[in-house]
Amino acid sequence: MSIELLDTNAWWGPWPFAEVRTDRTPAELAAWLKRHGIAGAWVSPLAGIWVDDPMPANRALREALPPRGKLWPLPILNPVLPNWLDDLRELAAMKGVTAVRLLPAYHGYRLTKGLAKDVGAAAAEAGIRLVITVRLVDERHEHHAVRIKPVAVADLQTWLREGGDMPLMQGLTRHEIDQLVASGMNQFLSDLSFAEWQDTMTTIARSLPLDRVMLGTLTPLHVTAAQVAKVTSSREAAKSVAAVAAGNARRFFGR
Amino acid sequence: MKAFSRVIDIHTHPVFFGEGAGKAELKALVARALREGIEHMVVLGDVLKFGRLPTEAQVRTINDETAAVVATAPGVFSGFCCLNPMLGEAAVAKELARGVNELGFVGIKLEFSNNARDERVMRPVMEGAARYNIPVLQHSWSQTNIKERSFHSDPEDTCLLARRHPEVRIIMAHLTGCGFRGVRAARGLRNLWIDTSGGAPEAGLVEYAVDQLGADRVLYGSDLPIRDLPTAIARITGAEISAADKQAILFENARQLLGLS
Repeated sequence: MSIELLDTNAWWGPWPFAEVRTDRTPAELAAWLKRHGIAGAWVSPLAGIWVDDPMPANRALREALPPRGKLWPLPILNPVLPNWLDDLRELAAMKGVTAVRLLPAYHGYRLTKGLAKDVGAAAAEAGIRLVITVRLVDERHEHHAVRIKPVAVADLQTWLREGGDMPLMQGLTRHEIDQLVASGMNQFLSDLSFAEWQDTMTTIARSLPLDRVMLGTLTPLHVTAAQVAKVTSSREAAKSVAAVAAGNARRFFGR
Repeated sequence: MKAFSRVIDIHTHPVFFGEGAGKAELKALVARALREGIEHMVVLGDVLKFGRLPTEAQVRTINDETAAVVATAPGVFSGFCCLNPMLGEAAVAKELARGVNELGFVGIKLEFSNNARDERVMRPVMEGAARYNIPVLQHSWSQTNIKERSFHSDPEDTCLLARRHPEVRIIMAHLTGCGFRGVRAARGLRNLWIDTSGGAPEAGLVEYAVDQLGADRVLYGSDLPIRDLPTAIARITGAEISAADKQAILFENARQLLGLS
């Protein structure tokens, strides 16, 4: 089956904790993804995770990605930094940026009612979509020197009640998706990076309609081929597979 | 990417917390597996159905259900005998004899009733494995962040078990759960294999295991239904190792270990 694949959860830059390929140039990353059938990807800077201020990493990413290439910037916003609204405005003005990524677990904040309202409103005003990273690493496998827990489902529920436009959540497990939907919080989109079960897409579709699900490979932290297989091996209707593979991402990111 | 036509899955739970036991479900599973090139699956049973410390009767129930799954497609499935070592020598010996002689099981499956380093508890199990010349698959997961080591085996505990019982073939389950440190612990152990199941498809681990242990020490396992077969297989096919190593991991190593023709 030949379908267009777009990756919503690709990363570029250094990662300190595992033997993974962090030395790829953007061109090499694009070639690696293409080898797996991925025509384009939204890319975030790994260098923006372990720092208070992700803006230098965001700017470096924007500089590194070819302006007319198939890798599109998905920069990181830290909305508890002083003057974070300035950062949001700068990111919104960057060429090719239509969404920003939040990393609550890595930047040390909770998704409170007040934060959800403030960030949701500011993003809407700037015309920017929000991507919430629930987890990047299985919490059982974090390096022994760090204690990173995924964003709690209760915090995600708070965000969904207060945060405005439908966000894309990345790194949810199948059970967390079920929990959110069962609690009536179904105004979100999800990638499949940590969601897996026998017949993954069919299983997820029992909770979340497939028009709200996207491919997310978490390259280079995860095996790209394994993540792609969740979509390409699905026996769901071709229209649904195409939506998860690329269509939903195009709609969300406006590309 | 090269397609691999022959696969043996060393780690499956076709029935999981009671789900999947119907004939139609099992038939669908076999059809799906065959589509992915999987010609044989080891059934490990619904091992947590009664919690981590099943009684003698509960262990029998688990094993009877495993045997029933195997009976639906005996050429495709083979079963491992679930044991709770904490039940003591007599109970372990009795259930293992029943499992091997009556139910036709070809291995032993241990979950986390106890830590594998507890030799007093493990000795009867390992003596049984040696007596019947069958492998032991030991659930293993890094306890660095889980902190259940009083009853949950860290890879170093499973490797200690292998060192204490060189006559027994041990499968250390869950490469992803064992991590880089677990792979290092397994260096030089010629009676130990590590299966590729467990957790999300984290990059770099298969390559590291092949580099540190050799491809002949690595076995493909999915942990189905928690994991999806094409995704689990792609952990191997998508790894940056040779085609020969991929084929060994996906098929040949398990074929030899299980003595399949």
